[in-house]
Amino acid sequence: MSENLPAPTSPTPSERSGFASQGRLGLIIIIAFALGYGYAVVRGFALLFSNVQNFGGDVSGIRWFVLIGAIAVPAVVFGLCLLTSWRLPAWGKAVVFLCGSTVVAALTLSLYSLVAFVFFQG
Amino acid sequence: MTPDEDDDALSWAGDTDPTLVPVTTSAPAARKTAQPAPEAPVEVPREPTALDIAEDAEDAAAEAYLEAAERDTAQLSSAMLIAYGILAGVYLLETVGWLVHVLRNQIAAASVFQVTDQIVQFLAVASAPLWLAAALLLTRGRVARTRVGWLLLGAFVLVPWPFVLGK
Repeated sequence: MSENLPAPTSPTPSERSGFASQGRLGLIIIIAFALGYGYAVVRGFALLFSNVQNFGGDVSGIRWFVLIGAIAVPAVVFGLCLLTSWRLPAWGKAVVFLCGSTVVAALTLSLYSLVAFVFFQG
Repeated sequence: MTPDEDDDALSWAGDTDPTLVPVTTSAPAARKTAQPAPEAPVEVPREPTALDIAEDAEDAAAEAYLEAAERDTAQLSSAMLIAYGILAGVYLLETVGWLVHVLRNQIAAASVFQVTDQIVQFLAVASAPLWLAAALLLTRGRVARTRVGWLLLGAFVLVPWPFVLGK
C-alpha cells in the first residue's frame, strides 16, 4: 500500500518559514553581517560604559543622545536590512547588508561630528 | 446585315453548353448545404492534465518575463532623466565630501580599534556610491517612482555632516 504514496520530499526554501526560508547561503550571509553589526553595537556599549565611568552622573543630554545613538544605529540598520532583504536572493542580501554597513559607518561619523560641533562650536 | 447575324459575330459556338459554366463560390456552398451535415464531435469536458498545467505556467512565466523586459527597456521620460542626473550629482558630491573628511582626519593604524576606525572611514567613503549602485540594482523593473524614492532616501541619510560642519 505504501508503494503508491508519494515519496516524502524536503520542503524547498520558499516553502519553509522563518529563518529556514532563507536557505543556507542566505543564513551564512545574515550571520556573517550580524557579527559585524554586533561588533558596532559592542563598541557603542564600550563607549557608553567608558563615558559613565569617566563622567559619572555628569553625562549631559546631548552626550546621552550620542551614546545611545552609537548603540541604536547599528541595531536599527541591521533590522531594516533584514526586513528589506528578506525576499531577496543571497546576492541581494549581501548587497543590502554591505550597503547597510556603510550607512552605519556614515551615520556614526555624522553623529560624532554633530555632537563635537554642538560641544565645541555651538 | 440582320441583327441575328450581329449576334452570331459576337458569340462562339457552344457558349450555351451547360458544362462550360464557370464554377462560382456559391456552387460548393450550395452543394455543401445540399449534403447532410456530418455529426459534430461531442466535446467532453476533461480535467487539465499535468502537461496543460505546465504549459499554462510556462506561458504565464513567459508573459511576466516579457512584461519585465519591456519595463526594463522602456525609455525614460525627460523628467526622470533630469532627476537621475541631479541625484547622481548629489551622490558624487557626497562621496567627495566623505573623501575630503577622511583625508583631513587620517588615523594611524596603531591598535585594533584604530584599524576598525580606518575601516569605518573607508566604509563611509564607499557609502554613497554603494547606495546608488544598490538602489539601481535592486529596483530593476520597479516603477520609476520607487527607484527615485530609494535614491532620495540615500541622498538624505548619507549627507557628510563632518564635511558640512567643516571637520
